[in-house]
Amino acid sequence: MKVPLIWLKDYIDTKLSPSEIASKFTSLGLMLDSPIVDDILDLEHRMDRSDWLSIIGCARDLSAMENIPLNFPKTYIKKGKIPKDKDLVNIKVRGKGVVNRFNTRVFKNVKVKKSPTWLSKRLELYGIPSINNIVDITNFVMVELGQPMHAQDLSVFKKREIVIRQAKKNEKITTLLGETITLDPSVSILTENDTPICITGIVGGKRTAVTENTREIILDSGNYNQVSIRRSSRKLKIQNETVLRSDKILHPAQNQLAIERATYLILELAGGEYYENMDYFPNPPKPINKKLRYERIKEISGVEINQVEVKRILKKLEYSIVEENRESLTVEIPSFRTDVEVEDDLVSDILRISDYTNIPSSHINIAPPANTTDPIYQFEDKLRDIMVSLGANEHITEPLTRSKAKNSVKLANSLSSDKSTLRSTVYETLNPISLNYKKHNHSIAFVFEIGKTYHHISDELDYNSFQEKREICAIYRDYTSSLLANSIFVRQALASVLNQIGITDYEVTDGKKNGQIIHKGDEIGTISPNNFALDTKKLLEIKAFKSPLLTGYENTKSFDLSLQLAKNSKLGIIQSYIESYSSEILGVTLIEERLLESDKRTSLLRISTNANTNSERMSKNIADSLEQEFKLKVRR
Amino acid sequence: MKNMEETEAVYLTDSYAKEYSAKVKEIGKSGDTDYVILDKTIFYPHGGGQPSDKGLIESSLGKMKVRAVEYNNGLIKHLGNINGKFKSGDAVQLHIDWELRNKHMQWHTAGHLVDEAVTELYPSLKPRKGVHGIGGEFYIEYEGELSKMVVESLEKRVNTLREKNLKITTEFVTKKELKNRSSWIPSNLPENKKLRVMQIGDRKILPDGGTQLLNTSELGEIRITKVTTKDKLIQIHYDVKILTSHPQKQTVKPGSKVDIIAEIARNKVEFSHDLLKANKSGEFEALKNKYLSKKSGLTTKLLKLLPSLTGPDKKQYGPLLNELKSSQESEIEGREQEFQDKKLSEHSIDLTAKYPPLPLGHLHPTTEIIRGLNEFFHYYGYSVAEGPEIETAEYNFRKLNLPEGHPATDLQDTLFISEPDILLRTHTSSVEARVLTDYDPPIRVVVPGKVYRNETSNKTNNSFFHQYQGFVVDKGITIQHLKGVLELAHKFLFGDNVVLRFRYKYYPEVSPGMGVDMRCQFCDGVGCEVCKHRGYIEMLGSGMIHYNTLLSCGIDPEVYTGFAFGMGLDRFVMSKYGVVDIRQLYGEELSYK
Repeated sequence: MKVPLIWLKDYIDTKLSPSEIASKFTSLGLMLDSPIVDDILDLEHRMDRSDWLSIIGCARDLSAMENIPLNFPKTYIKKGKIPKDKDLVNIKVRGKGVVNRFNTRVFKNVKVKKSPTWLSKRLELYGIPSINNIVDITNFVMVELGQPMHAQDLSVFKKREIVIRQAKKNEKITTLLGETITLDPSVSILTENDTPICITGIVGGKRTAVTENTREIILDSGNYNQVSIRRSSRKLKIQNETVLRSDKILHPAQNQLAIERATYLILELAGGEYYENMDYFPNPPKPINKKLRYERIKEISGVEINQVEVKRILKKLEYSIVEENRESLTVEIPSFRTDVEVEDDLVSDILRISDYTNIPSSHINIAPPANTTDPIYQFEDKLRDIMVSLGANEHITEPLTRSKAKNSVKLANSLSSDKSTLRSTVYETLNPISLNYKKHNHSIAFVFEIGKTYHHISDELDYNSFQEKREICAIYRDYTSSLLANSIFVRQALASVLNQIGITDYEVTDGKKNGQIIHKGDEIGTISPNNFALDTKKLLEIKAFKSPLLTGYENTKSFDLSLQLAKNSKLGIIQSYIESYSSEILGVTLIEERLLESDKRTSLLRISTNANTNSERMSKNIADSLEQEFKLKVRR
Repeated sequence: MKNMEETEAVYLTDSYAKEYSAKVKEIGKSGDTDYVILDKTIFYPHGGGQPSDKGLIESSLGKMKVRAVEYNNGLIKHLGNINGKFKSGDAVQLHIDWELRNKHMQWHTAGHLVDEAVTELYPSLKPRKGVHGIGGEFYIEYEGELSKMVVESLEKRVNTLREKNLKITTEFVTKKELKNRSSWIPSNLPENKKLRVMQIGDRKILPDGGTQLLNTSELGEIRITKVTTKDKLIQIHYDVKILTSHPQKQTVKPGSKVDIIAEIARNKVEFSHDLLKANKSGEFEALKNKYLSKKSGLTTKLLKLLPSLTGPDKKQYGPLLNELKSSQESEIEGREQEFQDKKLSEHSIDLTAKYPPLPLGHLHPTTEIIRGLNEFFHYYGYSVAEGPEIETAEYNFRKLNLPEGHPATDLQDTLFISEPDILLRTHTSSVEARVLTDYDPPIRVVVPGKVYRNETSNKTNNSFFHQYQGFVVDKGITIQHLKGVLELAHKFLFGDNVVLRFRYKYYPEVSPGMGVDMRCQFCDGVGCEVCKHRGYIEMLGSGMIHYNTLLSCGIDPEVYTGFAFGMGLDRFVMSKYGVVDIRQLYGEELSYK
């Protein structure tokens, strides 16, 4: 909010320079939004303190911090004349929940004219153009006290009655700014003779606006359900000084204060006489008392603040003490402090006014609790290190994408169709990166990401229908070599990752699109020629410790088998077959794969065995069995 | 004794030489016994605790069985009775009784190993002398006081050293050098002569004139047999299981019962000796032939014994022999490589020519920063927690003291999956709500995590970014502890010169709330573009966890208090890594050098 210092100084007498004042406000909880220009502070908006959207609210906190008097503006608290029945403007509120209070007064024989300079200047410094004295007064009081006000020309009313109700579908109103808005039943409006004259708590209509010819006005100050004002203003896309305040939590006691202040100013600047009119106020809230234990201040801050100082601060902030003893105080919360919920909020006020800078810092000297970090966290970090050691670059990609997968999670209010779903595989969002590497003059892209995938597992929209899984995905593209060469690298990388976490007993089976990586009958991931993906949670469950140290002399030997097989035959099955052929076989290593021009391919397998194995016999036996079991030839 | 040139003591440089050629320099008699002095000899004379060698000296005209050898002022006398005739200038062939010598060597080296262990375990003892077989005694004598000596642990240590296969090296040094390098010097050493010293492994060198093994692996098991104390003299007696050596000529016939263990030991000794000597390119090939040739290699021959062995023996010796074979292969190759490298480095390899780095991968900058922070906080006892990204309004807002429609919900434009209850978490505070609900205090946790907002992407804001949250709940936690940890964390991230500003700031889930700013490091607080002329840069939000938040998570706020803080990570990552657009950090454009 803009705070012109000249206006602020109407209420407090401070010798501080503009930047010193700004620094005080920073400590109090209001930082500058932009640099100080022309002695105007541009303070940020805080969502809880509706009183900080008034100059008086800002002045009050500063007076408490600086311990200087706060000069409250003049009001006219005398009751107005009682109108004749025919002059009374009837107020009717249809429906419940939107209007908490609607306080009105009628002024007759007012002179609408230009505002005096002190008034127009303050408004203009704040950023509201001066219109005429009546309109300016309502705006001035709004900025001064934080309570929106509204004045209308009664002479254009066809009936002396205001009905507040839901708008009808397609009902229209032209606002003060000349914009025509189409309404709907979710919006509350003020009507006169069944015609909309104002959107409740948001903006007034042009038809009843106060002009130079206006002689009789009705002044209103309303308090509305803040949630409903928020919804309507967001829906109608109207944001203005009124909405800024009425979508915060205001207190209905402020309406009376605002009316009294405006009455004073109207009588001063426009003359005429005023009449009481209806004050719709069905449920006046009771004042709220709060207990503050001195001990609590210490519990929260670790510092002891002298009781006299505590009371001084509270009084300066207009809390009234209703009860006190040596341990505690009970205070009545001032109506404008709608933010105060709990005792700690009073503690906040005390600490804030005393300045946080004065609280020392210290260190926890209690023994730390047991480590509760989920093992998957460290495990995934280990996987990252393994991937980096293989030469892969880590990427983190935005999971919001345009996924076509059947079970993908869709957003209800996405800003663009490119980000309308969550990924169901990491590959979806990582793959574009691997393709981009070429653009950056890399002939090889080797990238990985460890992250979540998101799944909508049923048609229901309950929370349990949404699932998150954890995945590592690696993509390898060597643009200078064949797909076979790429796939060999991918298979080696997969074997390395698994080997590093002690998993060697896996196999790959043929899936529809990709190979499925199977461990003891359970699918733990997928593989295709350029990438693999693994479920990290499953990996964590099956990982095993295997010492990489060679502790004894391993007495082994090996022989090679050269196979010629059909292009579509599955070598993985043949490898497993050989591995389980005899207990003397210690391992089967694929040395070379080659695609031949015909529909054949060759593979060279190295089989390692015990040193005592009769290699020639074993080799022949395996060759015979393979030729019998599979469609292949062993080169003898 | 006339003025004569000293006898060259070949045994000092080659303790494995069994045969040698020399020239006779003098022949004489003392009493009934003949003596012969040679220009050089491999016979070890009695001394240094080691008994003298025995053996044979022969020429075309005569021979003498050597019974004893004496050392006197640089001359070495071989004693015995000449059969036939020797005269000065005769060429003679020397043969020593290798079996005896080999025993002497084992005794002697074992004695030194015992000494190494004693020095290690009882450093206060001062060695005086060693007796390695003279008079059938084996002991080392020390001076000093000892309340108790545990024989078992000494014996264990000696054998541990032995099993380490330590190399034993000998060299000649000046006395000055010896003083610098040795811990113990006998008082009676000559000043102006080069002294022979020995060294076991990389231990201190010792003056020694005996014949030593090349490696402790050539020793059998050593036992400490007794420890005697008299006055201040302590004698530690030892014994060593002698590994018998067989003359090279003896061949092993298949089927014959042989002591394989002894054969292996002998093979090892000889091999290590040969390996040490090989230093010409052709010699490596010869070495391979000698031990590993398919037909007649010494090791191959041992391996050929295997089929003739019975089951348990086969099981025991098979691996042993196979290991011997492959270790010899690799040792020869290793030495040859070493030799080749040495030759190569003599030619010039141009090490000034630089190569590009090997292609290692990189962690994502955000991962690096998160790891750093995790490590920092782990030190202070914080665990890491994670939580779902698809969240309920309950955990994302309600438990954090943010009722529906509250003005503060405007601070976070939410991406909904199903309005109003299922959403993408807008902050990591949702994880705080979960941890506070699921765990009992004391709690000390950090949460690095991905969060989502319904925001149009631009350079600094994105619908997806990272936060780092931390919170503590325990008895007696105050805002002072919060200030303390934040000061430490900022020093960790930005260096010791950081200046922080703490001010009141409202956040729904805390009360009192606290904003933390760092004095701008670009302008030192004067005000510039970077800090938007504030002089300070907003770093993070924090505060004491709201009474209602604790309450709604099932923690008694009258018993426990707590603090929480949270920061956006991406801005920090971007400034550290020089990234100007957040979309690059998580998008398709990110690549590495």
